Amino acid sequence: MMLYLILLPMLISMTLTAFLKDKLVRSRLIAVSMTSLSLLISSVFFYVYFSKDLIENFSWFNIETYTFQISFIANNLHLLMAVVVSFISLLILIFSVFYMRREKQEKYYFEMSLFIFAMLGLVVSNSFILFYIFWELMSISSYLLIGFWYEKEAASKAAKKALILTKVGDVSLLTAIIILFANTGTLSISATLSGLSSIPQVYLTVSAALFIIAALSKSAQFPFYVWLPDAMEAPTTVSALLHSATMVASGAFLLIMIAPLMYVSGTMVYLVLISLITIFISSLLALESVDTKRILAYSTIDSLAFMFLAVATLNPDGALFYLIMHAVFKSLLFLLAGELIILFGTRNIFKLRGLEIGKPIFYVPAFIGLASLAGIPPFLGFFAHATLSYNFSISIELIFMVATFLTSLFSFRLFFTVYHKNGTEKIREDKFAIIPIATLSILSTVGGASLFFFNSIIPIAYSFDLFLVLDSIIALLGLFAAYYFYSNRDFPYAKLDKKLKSIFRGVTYDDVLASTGTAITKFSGLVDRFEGALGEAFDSVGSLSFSLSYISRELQSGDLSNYIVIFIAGAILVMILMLVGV
Amino acid sequence: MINLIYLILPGVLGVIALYLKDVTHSNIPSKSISYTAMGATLLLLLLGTIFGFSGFNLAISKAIDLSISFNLNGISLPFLFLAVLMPMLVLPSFKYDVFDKKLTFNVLFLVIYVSIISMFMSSNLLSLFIFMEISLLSAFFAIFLWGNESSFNSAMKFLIFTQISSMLILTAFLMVFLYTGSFELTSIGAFTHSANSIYLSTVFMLVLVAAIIKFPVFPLHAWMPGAYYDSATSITALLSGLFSKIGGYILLLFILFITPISASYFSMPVMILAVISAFYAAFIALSKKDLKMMFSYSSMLYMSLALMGIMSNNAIGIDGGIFLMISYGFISPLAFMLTGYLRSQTGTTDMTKVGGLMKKVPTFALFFFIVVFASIGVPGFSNFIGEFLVFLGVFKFYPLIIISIVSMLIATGYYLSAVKRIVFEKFFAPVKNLHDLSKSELIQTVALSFVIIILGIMPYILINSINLGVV
Repeated sequence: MMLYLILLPMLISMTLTAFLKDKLVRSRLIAVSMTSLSLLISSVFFYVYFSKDLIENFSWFNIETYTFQISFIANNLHLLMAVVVSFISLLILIFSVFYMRREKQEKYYFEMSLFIFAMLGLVVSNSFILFYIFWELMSISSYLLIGFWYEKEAASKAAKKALILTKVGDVSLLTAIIILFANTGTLSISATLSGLSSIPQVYLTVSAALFIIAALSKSAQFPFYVWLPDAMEAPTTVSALLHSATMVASGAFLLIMIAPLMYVSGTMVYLVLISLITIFISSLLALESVDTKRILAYSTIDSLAFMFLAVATLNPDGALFYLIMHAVFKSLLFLLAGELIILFGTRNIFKLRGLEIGKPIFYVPAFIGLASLAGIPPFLGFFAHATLSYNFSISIELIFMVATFLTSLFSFRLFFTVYHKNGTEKIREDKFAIIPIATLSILSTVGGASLFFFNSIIPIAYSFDLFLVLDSIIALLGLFAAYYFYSNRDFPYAKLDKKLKSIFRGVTYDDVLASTGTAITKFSGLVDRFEGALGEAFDSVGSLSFSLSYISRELQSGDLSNYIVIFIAGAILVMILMLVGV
Repeated sequence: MINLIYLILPGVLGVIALYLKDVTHSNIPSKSISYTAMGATLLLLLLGTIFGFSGFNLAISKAIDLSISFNLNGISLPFLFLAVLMPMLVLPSFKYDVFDKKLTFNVLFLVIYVSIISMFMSSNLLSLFIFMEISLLSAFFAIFLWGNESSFNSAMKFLIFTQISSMLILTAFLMVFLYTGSFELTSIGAFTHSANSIYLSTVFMLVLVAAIIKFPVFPLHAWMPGAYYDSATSITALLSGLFSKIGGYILLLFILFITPISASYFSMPVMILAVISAFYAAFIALSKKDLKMMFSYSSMLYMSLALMGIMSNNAIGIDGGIFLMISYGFISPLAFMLTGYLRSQTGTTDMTKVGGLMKKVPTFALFFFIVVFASIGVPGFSNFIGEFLVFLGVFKFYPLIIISIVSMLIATGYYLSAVKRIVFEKFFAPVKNLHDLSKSELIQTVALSFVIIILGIMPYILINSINLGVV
């Protein structure tokens, strides 16, 4: 029982890439082999500890009766996540060999290893402080990775924006942890969740609200979603990892993990509201975007809002299933976008359209990925919808159908704009690109069936009912609508896009953020001016005391006659006082 | 057993050696004498922590109970650790701005070193006061002798403020003496520890105001920007890393051992003041365009947080306050060392005049990241533990004050702006040809970072050395 072994390979990978600096062994070799090792270890653990619930505690330090403990957990939920994380990471790192061949390798692989390390640690930790440590490490590593091409101003800006917005979540998470720890006296997540009744309701509500803020900021939900599209300045492999199994998934994973606390806090109705807002904003923004990666970024926000909606409708296991399925098809889509960038040098969908890309090797995986995203049977998304929607009420079901339509519309807008029926391009494929893409495509096609035995891992509820039939019909409608609007090269789609753009421009609140920034800067300028005035006030007190000392120096002139005058005046004063009778 | 007096012997011998060197016109570099003295002290401290310390008592005057007595109390060790180790890592920075009177510099440095170590060991309040005064006066000279053009004014301001604060402390000590007839910490504690009167509250208030000046905390921080900005790099590092802890240490002595009951009356108002101070410092740091100024106000922010922890009336908060003081005591020297390096290379610390340093000087960028990440409380670095404990203690004291955690967001804001300005994006600087950190600078930065990371990963080293109950 040494659960921390899961973390060891990535730790070794970090150390080796940092110190060998590509000299002895290629860092990509180190990173890929160590990630395979993590996959192996987590799979072995998953097999060995299947359906067991084991917790491993270490005491970090103590103050009085408070134990700051580090603790790892082995059960189906956490180990399954570890397997998924290391599997997706492995495929993305293999793809990186193709994608990052011209870049500074050791830095990239070091930061990626840190990123994967943080996510693996996060999914197996059972103590809030350990969870926070990995959570924050993930923020930092994503900051470094988003700013990987730091010389570009856009990248440097995006990195800063991402870290500041996620730091809001980090601070809320830390506050929530402090509130719970002060109330329960334990940092163990499982112990906290089983002892909820001892916590006063007000603290439950406050900490649940803070956890929700943390999750929203990490998963880029409304109102924090603005950092994610900008984070597209990162290398595409980073986006693929950030959007599928790590970073944004960790927010949803947090809520899934502490679901019992959420459900006694009475905050779920707000979460429903926020998810619905996020779904609509993100799908509309995806419809007006012309950048492959940005469209995918909005689709991630959209999909995560689905998960939050499932959590909010008391269906965390449905959210978990969706999370895993999403990790598969979203990493596929990002790898495809990355392939297009490397091979064709652009992310603009209209420029790509001009290139007439029509080989099956490009469009078949893309179709599989986008159909999964849209929820078209028999691909992954369809099965994920079956369990996601299990607890939906009628009204949410109706709204969800609209969301499905929008999602399907923007997915296939991307597809029909970029890919062409009879393309003419001549491009050589690379095996490091094809292996991960092929694996993920196959999984996206047949993986949905895993729903039927997922139940034996984690109890899950699903139903193939009328709603699901309607839902898939609507998804298909979205596909046809997209075909009608965007596949016809002569259709004035540009005009339509322009119209959409003018409608939804207000939705990105970059202006609001910018003016908040200026307001804070202005305010700090004011404080600084006050500080200047304060300093001057002290200075004038100083000079005042100097002038006072001049006066007092005058008094001590050494001139005897002066002293006599003062003495006599004093004596008269004393006599008067005596006469008055003081 | 290592007698505590041995801890100051190497420093004293070093001062004598420096004098002899001057007299004999020997060629030994002054700095190697200083390094040897400090290295020996560090070795003795390590031996002492392994084999145990024994006290040292030398009565000087029975009438006024003045004695040189070195005995460790429950909070001495962490401060001693900082005072013994940190100056050694700071001294190499003298090369940035100390070009003349190197011998005098080394003498002053060693005097400060010895007196601060003695101060943290003294169990006699009067001798504690004397050692404190020696160190502060030496600092006064150090500020203006090697500072920039306007450093004399800053040094004067520093002197006036610290002297006012010292007078308050002396008054408080005398009042304690009048009350108990002793300056010895243990015998005072026996009298006053569970006593409660307006008299003792007055004593505590005097110490409190003095500590607020020394930390510094708003609104009595007017000496800080000038003294930090105008001094030489190594002196700034000493001021922010070590001198700002003197106030906290004396305050802790009163809170824990002398007037705990009175201290609890003042918790709430001081806590509110500290919160205001934290936000105040954070906002000013946000508006500063100069790196050294930004780090100065940043140091004020963390000292305000430490004050919050100290005043929180519970062990977690107090431990956190101490931890934060020690931890930031290693981070701020690293920060100021990097500003010194930046000025030596580019001639400026103005963040609008340099940019894109990651391309040209990646090692500098790496350590800049360490400073930034350590300061904003990234786990794995020492400040995280301090901040976590302080906020936990503050929450236990009064839940609403947890709001102060928002100041960490502002800190993130200005630190990341600094990164964006000077580390990221396209390279530009007044001087085009930059050299990355030299070997000696590398040793210095690596050593400081090592301490920061070790304390972050193994905080129990420091926490277990704190024992709040032992006088």
